[in-house]
Amino acid sequence: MITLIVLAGVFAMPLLWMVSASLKPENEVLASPPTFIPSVFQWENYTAAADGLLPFFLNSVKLAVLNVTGLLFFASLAGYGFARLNFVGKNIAFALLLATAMIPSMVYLIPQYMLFREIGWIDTHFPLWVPNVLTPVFGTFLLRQSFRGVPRELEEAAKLDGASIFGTFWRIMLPQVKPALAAVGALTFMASWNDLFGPLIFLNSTRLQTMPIALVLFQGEFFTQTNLMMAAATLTIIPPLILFFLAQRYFVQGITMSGLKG
Amino acid sequence: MTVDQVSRRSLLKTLGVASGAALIGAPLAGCGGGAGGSGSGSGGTFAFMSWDATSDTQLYQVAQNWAEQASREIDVQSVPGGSDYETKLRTVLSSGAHPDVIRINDDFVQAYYSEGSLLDLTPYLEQDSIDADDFYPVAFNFAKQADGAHAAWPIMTNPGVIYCNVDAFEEAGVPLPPTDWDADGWTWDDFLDAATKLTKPGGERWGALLFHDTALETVWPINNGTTGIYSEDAQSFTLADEGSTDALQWVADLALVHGVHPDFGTVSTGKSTPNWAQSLFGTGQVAMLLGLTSAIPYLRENAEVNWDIFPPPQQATRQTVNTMTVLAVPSESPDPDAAWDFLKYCVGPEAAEIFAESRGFVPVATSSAELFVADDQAPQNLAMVSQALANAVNENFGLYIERARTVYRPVLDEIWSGRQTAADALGGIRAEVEAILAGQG
Repeated sequence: MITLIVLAGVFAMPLLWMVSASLKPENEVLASPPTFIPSVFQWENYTAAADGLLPFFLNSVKLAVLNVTGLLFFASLAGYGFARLNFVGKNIAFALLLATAMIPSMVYLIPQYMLFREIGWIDTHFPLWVPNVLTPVFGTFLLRQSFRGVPRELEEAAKLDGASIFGTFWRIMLPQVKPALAAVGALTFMASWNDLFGPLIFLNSTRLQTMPIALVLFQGEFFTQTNLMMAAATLTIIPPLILFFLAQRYFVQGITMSGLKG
Repeated sequence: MTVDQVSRRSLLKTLGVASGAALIGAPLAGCGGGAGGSGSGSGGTFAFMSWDATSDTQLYQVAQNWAEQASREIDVQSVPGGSDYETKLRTVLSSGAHPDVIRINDDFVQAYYSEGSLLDLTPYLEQDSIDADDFYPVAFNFAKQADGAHAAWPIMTNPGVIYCNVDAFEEAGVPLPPTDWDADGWTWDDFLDAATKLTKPGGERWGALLFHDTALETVWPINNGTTGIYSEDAQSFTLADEGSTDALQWVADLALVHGVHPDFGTVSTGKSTPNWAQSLFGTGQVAMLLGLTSAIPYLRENAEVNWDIFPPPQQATRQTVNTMTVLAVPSESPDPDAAWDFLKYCVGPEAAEIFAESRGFVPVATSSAELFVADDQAPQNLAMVSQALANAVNENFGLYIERARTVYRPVLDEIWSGRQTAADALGGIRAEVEAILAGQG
């Protein structure tokens, strides 16, 4: 028990330091010896940090919603297909799908940039969700594993009742893999919320930028207002924290039932 | 059914509805683009790719002012600095999406020019009869290449100075350094003597902090009579010369022998923390700090002690290092004429006034010296920034200095830790570094 408390303390320390620094005057952030409780609680750091963050926040929310909903839709369809439907070349297609995950993104960055530029997608949000949604490798794999764990009798009963393939998928099978959907959704949300590289490369206009970029922009070339940056960072982690507390039960179940537990 | 379950489900349902609405509405509302990633030729949106160009910086303001007077719409593409900026810059240049003007790391100008990515500005300089004498030589001559091309143009500079905690000097009864760059005295011995008297035991206050970076690697060796890290043609690793190794050993001994400087292990750790050195100085834990003038805005806002700026101590000579904010025109800039007009505006009098408001970023025109007059805030010796710039040198840039850095920097830790002498450590890698500088590494 004591070990767990100590470990929890160690893991929580950076988070607590961030919150503490976010409430301090700038001079106190790096004071030596370090202090944990601010001499003055500077709540105005939050108003200063939040000033101007809203557009970045809304862009991040929009992209997270598009990524999560779109990816869940396509990944569940593909996962069901690979798990339950029989078609020519299924195994080869699945192997090819997994193989695409092995190619480092830097390899195709410039061709991808040229392609997006050609179709007018640079400085739009499309590159930040359309490719993710249409190539959900990990989500497809995880949901395929989950669908494979659902008893076939359910599908056979639906077939006897006259359900179509899509009807069986949508009304019978999908509700059976809710925990896996929650897990894929949570992981997709985190990937989208924390994505720095995509917005960095494909966006130019500040009005389209997302929260990770906003945080980096707090870091000045020659000096950084660390207290304001920590306040902004604290605000940034609130949505993922809420999501985690709401979905943690499904998240653990989903990872477990898909056979990916360690 | 518990309240907890109800609220979770309700919230998830609400999120689901919101997701659906966003999915339907978003493609209509926000995926449409901006400028398309590049400038669009004469009369269209002018694209300026930069870093740290959020709306509260002087550079951003100057860009907006230029656009207004030139009746151009400007798209300031603000990309976070460091390696992220380099990745983006490489990507846009490789894929043909050239901005009209780019900001560029002074370390990389030569490399970008040699691969054909930057426009030679010489025809524009000649066409507008730009007089080199109107600018600080250390800035104007920086971008001149071996073939005579003018590959870029610095618009602001940051020379190195010594920041002094005036309160600490008074308390210790130590005379402040001179305010005249050319004054006699204020030698390395004087610096060590002052640092010794200013140091308080137990780490309460260190006499000096010389951040080990390019500034230190340049200032101390050149003041000991060498050319700094590299020879002027960037082919020899002069940091391994006797004058340079003596200088670095002298610095290392501030911590290892004299105990007037934080140990360099602590300094290395602090380097990864934003504002670490300025914060130590501003809170009175360090009495003398070698730093660029770009630290002035931070200290004006945050320092708790009275402070001022002074020249570095001299040995064979008294010079300092210079770093710059550099702009360049991509070789395939959609509108090079407008780009040149923008560059000229950035070094002109209107921009100089805006840059000088920071009190730490020095415009490149010599006439800007008159803008650096002390006000009611520190530093009172503000005119020192112009003196420093007039006595500054650049690092001797070459094509391969970035790679050379990856070899010699780790070896410097051997010196700072006292595991090897500077002569042994740097002498041992001279051949390897020089092979890299010759393009054979």
